[in-house]
Amino acid sequence: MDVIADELDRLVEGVVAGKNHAFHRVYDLLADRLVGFAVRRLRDRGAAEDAVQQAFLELARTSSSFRGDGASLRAWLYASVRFRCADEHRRRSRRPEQPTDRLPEAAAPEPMDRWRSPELTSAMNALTQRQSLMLELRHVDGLSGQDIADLLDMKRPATYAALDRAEASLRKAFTEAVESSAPAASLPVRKDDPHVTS
Amino acid sequence: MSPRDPLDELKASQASITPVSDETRAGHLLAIDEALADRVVVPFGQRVSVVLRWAAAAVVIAGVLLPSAIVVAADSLPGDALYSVKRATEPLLAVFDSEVVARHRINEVVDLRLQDRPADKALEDATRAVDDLPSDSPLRDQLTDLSPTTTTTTTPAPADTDATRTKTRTRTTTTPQSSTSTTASTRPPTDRTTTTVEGDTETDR
Repeated sequence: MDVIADELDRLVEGVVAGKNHAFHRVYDLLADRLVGFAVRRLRDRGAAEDAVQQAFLELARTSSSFRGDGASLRAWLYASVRFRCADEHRRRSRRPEQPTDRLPEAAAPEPMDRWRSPELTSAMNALTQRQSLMLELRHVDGLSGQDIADLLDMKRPATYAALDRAEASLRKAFTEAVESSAPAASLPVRKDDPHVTS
Repeated sequence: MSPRDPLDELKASQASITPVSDETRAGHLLAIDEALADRVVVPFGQRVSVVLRWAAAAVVIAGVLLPSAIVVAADSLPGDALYSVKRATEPLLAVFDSEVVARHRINEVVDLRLQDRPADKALEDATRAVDDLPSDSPLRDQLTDLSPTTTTTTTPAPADTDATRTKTRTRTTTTPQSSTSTTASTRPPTDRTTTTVEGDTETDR
């Protein structure tokens, strides 16, 4: 049961009407996850928070024409943040490198990278960008298959099929990462194993 | 030891999301409040009136453009851009004048020939259109004059002298099978000729 979507359902009317308290509650429900989502895209906490703020400001300006339920509202915000992250990526690629005396904030590892095991990080890196995005939206941000389909502009059956493939690929890559990280010497070996020669 | 599931680890990484700081939250909410205060909510009635205004503008534009296109299309010939508009309006005109379609087709044949453009297809269309007319329709005679077997038209004649160049002469168009033009008519003379003077066509009986 999607508790956040249920509460968003109750807040949609206030959001459409432009009620401040409804916006504040939606922000409190989603801002942390949206910032986390943007950080994973941008690797820059400040830029990620800016992207989330811009998404909420756009919602405040245009919510009178919003039609949908709580899940749609959440998908709308994720889509808005995603587009802003893409814009930021484009801006960065056009911007020439500026010499600076201080290290950029992005150089610091993000908390999620620190938290994830090396095997999971390795397995996620082995996936395509779209597969890792879908898995994070589904399992980290808790979006439904329908939300992801709307967000990525895909048909729902194709979304579920792609999610299944991504999960299978992740498990395979994860298993390989675990096996390769386990040192051969540490594997348990039976002393009476006839293949082992001293 | 149970095997590790990467999806479980991925779900657990939710806990690692760093919350937005109170300072950032306060700044964001303030900006949202300002955006909401600046928002101009268009009442439903006003939105409807905007739609009606656009609809009225579309009707006015269509009311000007459509008649203009019809007027311009009236002089179009087969192959012209607006010819299809002319053909589309003919069923409406035919309600008031049953001979309008046949008259258009015959005039098109005449105009195409004056412009030295192929008129065979137009002549076929004219023949079909005239077939629908009563047997005593004068347009049948006009079509007969235009038929490829013998068509007698009067056009400004090239003459030996400048003084006679503006005079008219009778030119006989022979059948397509005959590659030569003759100055004598190959059909019995009739009491009717189509006279063309300075681009105007009139039928004399």
